[in-house]
Amino acid sequence: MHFTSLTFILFLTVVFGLYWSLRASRHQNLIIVLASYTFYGWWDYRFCTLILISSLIDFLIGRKIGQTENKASRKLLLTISLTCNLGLLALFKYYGFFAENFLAFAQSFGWTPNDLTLNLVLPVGISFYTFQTLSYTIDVYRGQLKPSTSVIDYLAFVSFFPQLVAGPIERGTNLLPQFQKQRSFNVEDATDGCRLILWGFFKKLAIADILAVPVDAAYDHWDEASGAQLGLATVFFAFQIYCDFSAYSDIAIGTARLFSIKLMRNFAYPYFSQSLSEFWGRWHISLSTWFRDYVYIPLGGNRNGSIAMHRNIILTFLLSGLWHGAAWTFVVWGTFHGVVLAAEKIFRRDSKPVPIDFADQPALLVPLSVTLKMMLTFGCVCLGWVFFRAPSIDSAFVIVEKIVASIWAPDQWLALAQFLDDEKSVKIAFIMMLIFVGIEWVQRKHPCPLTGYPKKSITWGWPLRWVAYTAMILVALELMAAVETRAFIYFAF
Amino acid sequence: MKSFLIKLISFVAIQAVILTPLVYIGSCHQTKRQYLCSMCDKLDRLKTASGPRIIFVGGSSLAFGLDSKMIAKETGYNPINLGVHAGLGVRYQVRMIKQHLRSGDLVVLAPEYRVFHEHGTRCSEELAVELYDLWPGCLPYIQPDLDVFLAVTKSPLHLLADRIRYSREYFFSAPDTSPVGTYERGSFNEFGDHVNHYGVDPSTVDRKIGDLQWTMRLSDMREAIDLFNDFTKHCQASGAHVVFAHAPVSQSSLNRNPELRIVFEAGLASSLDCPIITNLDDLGFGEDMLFDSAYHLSHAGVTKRTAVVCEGLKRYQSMATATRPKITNVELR
Repeated sequence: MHFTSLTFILFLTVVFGLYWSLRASRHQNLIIVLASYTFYGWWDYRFCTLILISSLIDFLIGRKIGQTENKASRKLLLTISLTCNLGLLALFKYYGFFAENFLAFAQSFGWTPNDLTLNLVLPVGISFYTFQTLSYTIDVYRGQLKPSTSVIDYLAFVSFFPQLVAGPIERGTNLLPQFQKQRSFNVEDATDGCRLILWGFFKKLAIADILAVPVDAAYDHWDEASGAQLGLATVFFAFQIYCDFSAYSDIAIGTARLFSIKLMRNFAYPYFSQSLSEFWGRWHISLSTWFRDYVYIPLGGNRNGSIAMHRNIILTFLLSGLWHGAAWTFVVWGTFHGVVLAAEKIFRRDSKPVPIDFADQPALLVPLSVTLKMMLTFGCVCLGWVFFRAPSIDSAFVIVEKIVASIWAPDQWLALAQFLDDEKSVKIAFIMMLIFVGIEWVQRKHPCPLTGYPKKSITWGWPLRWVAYTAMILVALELMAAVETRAFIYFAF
Repeated sequence: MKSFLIKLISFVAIQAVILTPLVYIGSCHQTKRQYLCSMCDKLDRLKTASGPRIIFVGGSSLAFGLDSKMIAKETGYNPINLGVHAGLGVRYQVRMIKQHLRSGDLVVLAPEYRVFHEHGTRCSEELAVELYDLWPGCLPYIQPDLDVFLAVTKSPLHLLADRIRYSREYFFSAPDTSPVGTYERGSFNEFGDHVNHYGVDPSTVDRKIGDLQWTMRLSDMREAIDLFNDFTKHCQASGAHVVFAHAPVSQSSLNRNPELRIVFEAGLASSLDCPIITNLDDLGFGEDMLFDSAYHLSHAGVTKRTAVVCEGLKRYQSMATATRPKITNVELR
């Protein structure tokens, strides 16, 4: 069941009605659990068993940790939880990758062991909910969170359908208490939720899916495409993946608000970052903070000197790359970000943290130096995206080589300009991307371009706002007809 | 909650008010020239045509292979040619006819040979989706297979989006004044016969006249035969009659694998409850009588095929009396 389907809209309507027809929070949580398992089982009912087992293990371990003060026992219980969760993730997501690489490695020495691959289906969203349950057990172990005493509350926290499949990866400290308390309907929240859902739909259908066509055309034929074409496709991909993933997050956050549940912000205009460290504070915030809190800091963070800090950054990003997918392209992508970030730490020791709401920037025009920094950061991020999108590691290096070579080939750019002019679909994709950047730039001081809470981002009267919303719906439908609607990219992770 | 619901319902209502006329306009504009939409016209004719009626069931070999005027003249029946596309199967036509059957109707089953392959009576999933996109009203006729139902109803948002796109074309693009092409809705006459290709020289079109694959097995034929026998029973109970007529086919296909033809003919003769009014040997056509495929006939081919059908019908009419309700196929031939 995809967010951008009529089935989901109908499903949401039914769940919303049932949820608010009940008063007691425990009954509402039960509805959430049933709805979430229905939602998840829509892909494959067998996955429900997996998530249930994973949730119950952590629920029981969490309770046991909460009941004992003995450090050794607590550590042992945490180890069991980590082993079970990471074991399941390793089995379903990474086993095939490591088995294949082991076979290739063994064959290079002339040894041909029996086929080790299992051909397991990757359960949708396993990386997301595994990290969520892991954070719960670790927080309970650290004493930052009281273990849940209600299995229904806990199951609702793990399987909450808006964010189950592709995040935001919630922390027990934020989400669990919301399921434990009485909730009341908030008109402002619900209205804002609808706006977020609309904005998410628009980004997915009118931008991400439109940009996907030229991106696929170039990357699927990377050996034939020119460097300039691949360069443009990479920029398109940067916006495709951003609009795709942030659309999912917006719909998830908006849907949660309809149930008076507040999920954490996952994106904060990442392409307006002036450095890679700022980018990671704005991109997939729930994952980057997860890695910060549960990997980088436990590794030692910046506490053990500069060399250890750089090692920790690179290691954390390598693991982050591997989290995205079991392929060398993701490993290189993560390592690339880690290395650039480590280098940034060396050259910009005195850099101050940038406020997430762009409070220090003027509304429209910013100094040239800021623009240049943004462009440099964006270029760096795009270079990373080549590895993320390329079908193989070899092809990624060829693509980078082609793009770099095309910088000094003006004829390629002229041909590309002609191609842009001739190909209506590419032209539309380009225009939509520019419109999107414009909207984000103008509205970047607000959490979402459309939301009105806590501070109104659009001060127009409701008739004008509704005209704008209607126009967005019509444009999205018009563009949707031209291309195939795709699954959200992050479903694959 | 109340104010939120009022706001939400008002917004949805406004969208519905805006989108409904756009969907309607888009729908009319989109289906105006689509070949598959000729099905709607044929259904309209089935609902309204006066009796005594003769209803032809089949695919494009019927659309491109029957002269209804000649049938009307020779037999006195009012013809309805339901043939559109073999890939749609025949189940949908059987359902249509069952809903609009009248006492005294004569139904001629003239399906393509693919219908006698496994699952050949059903509408292919791909075509069902295409058809549903064009004409959601087809659902009651093609629905009963769950896979097809799930496939066609998978993307109603896309259906809506398609309509919006066509309504935009209607408002902002220059009207399409090009002449009606071969595979378009407007290429049929009032009876449902495809007539637009009559004047077209077959050598000027993209012809794909390959030999048909005769991979008949009696077990595979069972599905189609059971369907036709059930249908025959239903018709007889309603006071209508059913006969079977062979579809036209290229002569080279007939000459290929004669033993398999024997299996097919034997299967039909022994299992089909309705009379067979034609002989397969009379319905092999040389390339000069084919239009663009092994099933589609040129004008000359249409005339020849219709003559064979008329002859069979006349034989059937002369024998079908109240005292002899069941005519043996041996007698008919």
